[in-house]
Amino acid sequence: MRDGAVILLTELAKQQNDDTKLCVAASFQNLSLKVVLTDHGFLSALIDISNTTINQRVVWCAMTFSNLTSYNKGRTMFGKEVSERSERAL
Amino acid sequence: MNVTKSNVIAALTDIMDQKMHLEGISLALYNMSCWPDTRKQFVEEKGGALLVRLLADKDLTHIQKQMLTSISNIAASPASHVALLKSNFAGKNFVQSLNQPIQDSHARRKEPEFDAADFDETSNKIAMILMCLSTTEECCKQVSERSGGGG
Repeated sequence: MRDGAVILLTELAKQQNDDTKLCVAASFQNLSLKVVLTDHGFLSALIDISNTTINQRVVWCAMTFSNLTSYNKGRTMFGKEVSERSERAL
Repeated sequence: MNVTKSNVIAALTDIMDQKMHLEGISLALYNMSCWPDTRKQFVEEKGGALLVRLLADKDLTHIQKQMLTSISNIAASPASHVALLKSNFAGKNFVQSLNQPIQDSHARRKEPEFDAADFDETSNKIAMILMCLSTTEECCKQVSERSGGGG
């Protein structure tokens, strides 16, 4: 899965199709079980696909957030992304 | 008949240089991918590499969905995941090859015959393949090798 899997998933997360986004959410959850994912655009894509009313997708995204924040690197990345988004929203 | 034991894949590899046969080869690979019992052997005999090679062919964009369905069928069997990930062609690894249809679609996006629904279906198949592959611990380990582990 190395050499671009997460980047490709990040690209697929931009599609409109809900089935595609569901698969992306599941993949993120599976991949984040073993390692902190730090690829460019990953966290932004995860936050975007988590904004939904589809229960299964919300659950997988929440589990990915949980996996991500169990690492120092993940928590730092998460904090940066959230503060950047807050600044953009102001 | 157990097609994978009858050297069909090796025979198909031999005729890969003949452009006129490529669509037929893709169909043959699709048919073989439909048999769950032989999927592991299929990829071990470089059937996955053949699919990756066809996917990279610019003249075969009209049958990309068929090839992605074949890969999706293969990826549905966890036993075939590791060998499938090792499939590569012309310096492109398996994941990079999956990116090819997306790049092709982006390039065609402004053309009048571009079909958004068709693109959706292609994206969905690719996402499905990645989701199937991500369920195998061995595949996830490869991500950890690349990302350098946790912090």
